[in-house]
Amino acid sequence: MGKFILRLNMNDLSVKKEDVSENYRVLGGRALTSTIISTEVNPTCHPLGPNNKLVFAPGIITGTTAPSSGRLSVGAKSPLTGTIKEANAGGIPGQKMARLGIHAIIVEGQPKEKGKFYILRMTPEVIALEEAGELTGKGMYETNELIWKNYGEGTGIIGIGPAGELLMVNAGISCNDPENGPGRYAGRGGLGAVMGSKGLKAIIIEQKGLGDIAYANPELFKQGQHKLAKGLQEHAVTGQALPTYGTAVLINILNEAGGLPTRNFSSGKFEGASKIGGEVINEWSKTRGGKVGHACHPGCVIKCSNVVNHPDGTFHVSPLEYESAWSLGANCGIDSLDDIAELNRICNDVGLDTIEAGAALGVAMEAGVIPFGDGKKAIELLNEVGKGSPMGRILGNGAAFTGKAFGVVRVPVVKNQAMPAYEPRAVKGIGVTYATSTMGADHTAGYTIATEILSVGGKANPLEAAEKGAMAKGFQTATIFIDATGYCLFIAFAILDLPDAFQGMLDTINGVLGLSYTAEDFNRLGAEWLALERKFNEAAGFTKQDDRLPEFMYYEKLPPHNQVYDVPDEMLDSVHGS
Amino acid sequence: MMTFEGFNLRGMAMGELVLISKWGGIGLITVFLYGKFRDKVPGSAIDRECLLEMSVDDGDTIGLIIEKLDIMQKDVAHIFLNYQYSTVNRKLHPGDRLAIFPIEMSVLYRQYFVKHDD
Ligand code: SF4
Repeated sequence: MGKFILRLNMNDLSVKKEDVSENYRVLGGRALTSTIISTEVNPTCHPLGPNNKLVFAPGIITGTTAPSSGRLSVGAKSPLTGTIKEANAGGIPGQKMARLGIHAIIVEGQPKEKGKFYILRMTPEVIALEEAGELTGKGMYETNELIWKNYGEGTGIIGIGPAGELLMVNAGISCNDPENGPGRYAGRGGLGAVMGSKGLKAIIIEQKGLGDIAYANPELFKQGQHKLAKGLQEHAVTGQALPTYGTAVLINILNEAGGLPTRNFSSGKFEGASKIGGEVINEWSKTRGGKVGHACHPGCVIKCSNVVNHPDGTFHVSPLEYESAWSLGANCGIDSLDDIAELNRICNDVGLDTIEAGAALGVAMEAGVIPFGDGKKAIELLNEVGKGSPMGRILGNGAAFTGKAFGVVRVPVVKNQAMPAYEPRAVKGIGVTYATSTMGADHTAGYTIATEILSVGGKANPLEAAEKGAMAKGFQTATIFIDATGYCLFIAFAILDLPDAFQGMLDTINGVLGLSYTAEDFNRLGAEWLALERKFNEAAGFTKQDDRLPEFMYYEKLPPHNQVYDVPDEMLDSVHGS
Repeated sequence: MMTFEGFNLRGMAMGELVLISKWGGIGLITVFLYGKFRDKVPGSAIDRECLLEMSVDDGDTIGLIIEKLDIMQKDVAHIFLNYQYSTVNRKLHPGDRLAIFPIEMSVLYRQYFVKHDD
């Protein structure tokens, strides 16, 4: 099937198909969203105004049978950070979009009628904008249910909840999983608010009659697929630990490393860690039902996802990941996994990024709005977001906004985006990534953490500041390349360790594109795309002074290591050679 | 007092099962066990800290403690001594906190770990 770009102009509600240029043909995922944003969006535009654009792009191999390859990237100028932004998600819509022949969807303009929402409906025969009607204002659980009822089971859904409709800058974009749960989020950076500002409630891809991906070299692709799948199965992390315990296995590990941010980044150790980690989730899957080893889309062989049930065995939430168990748990001093699951469910329904939501709650607790550790009060507070009350709007606009509203100094953000679950004062290299990423504080922007705590693909000592710069850059380029492919970032564990799996990954890409990318291209292209993102940010007004951690981390010692952040500014600046 | 595998059961403290090794020594360390190593402590629960106290002598290493716990070194993924990654060679001192994770919780390949080594 020939590929095309779909341009959706919300000014006049028109949908146009465009050819894919050779330049764009070889790009996918984050490389494509960032290239389109860099080319078409004025870096100084207001992220929620008519001149920002929202781009959806499946990865290069998304929609193929390659293992763990169903990611969908979403890009825009971020209303949270003001930088260029890419967030990606698993779930089922990315694969379907690719199999429909869609290389990218570019959403531009804004509908004349304020507060009116539309859905973009796609089948092999029809691509049309329809009024969202009864879906407007609905949470994501009900939205997904109604869409499957009206358009058929198996429909891929990309949508926003009330937080996105109300233009809150912590709104994420939901992708549905195979069971139609809304929990797979392109969460970070407020892209849900950009979607809301375009009057777009959802994009849906119906199940019927989808085509197959065209392979330039099917033999090479098959070989690569085989090598990669073998590597993913053999590697202890992707073959054993992630399917057994999920990412939340890291709660206890980071806690023992003294790097689990606790009670709004005031300690690296949480006394309730044992109650909220992957071991408990695994145990519950046996005692309450639910599941570990859940795949967020067909064809994932790692299966890090899970399903967490209520004590009575009924469904509660899916997935409950490390970052969420931490942000809504340890970071708020909450040690009830049931309360954390409920907070996560609310995020999925209202349409919030869990990391930012937990960080905002932590800051509100710091301010004394509710006490640390009170899960029930946290649930009440988070429910305000969906109502659009003044308190809900404060929280729904993220940690930095909440900090300003309540006069809190200890606000764990870089470029306004909340830090994820690794304390930079205990794991110094992750701080370099947070500070220098093109996306604000983001653990997936460069997997320094993989070498430092998880010990994958290199050597690093978390508490030594030296040589973190080059390492962070290396990981940022590797990450952006993987984000362009459509592979789940978790393949990094295997491909950085096992040369055969790495080659397999390259073979699948070459098999699809008909190119002959090598390991050098992996680094070269990663560096080029990263430079493009940096350039956008510079033109948007960002300087090296923005590549810093929040000041409190430089003077507050973090227990139990009792360390401040001491990586010199020059080293942070050396990452991108500025 | 119940005895098993070289430990004497001392009783419950703060809801956790505390064991004390029957060997002598200059003082106690606290060992935190995760994953399948929790089975070393009868009655331990998955959602609580699983810890035991063990006595150490001058010059005792982490490796010796692991041996005393009847754990094979190849089954160990991560070791943290006082929140630092550690090799099995490090010497222990009374008051130390030692945490041991099994290979099934290895979100890592051990050879890449840079470990503190005395
Ligand atoms: S490893 Fe996890 S996040 Fe990645 S594709 Fe599989 S289930 Fe989804």
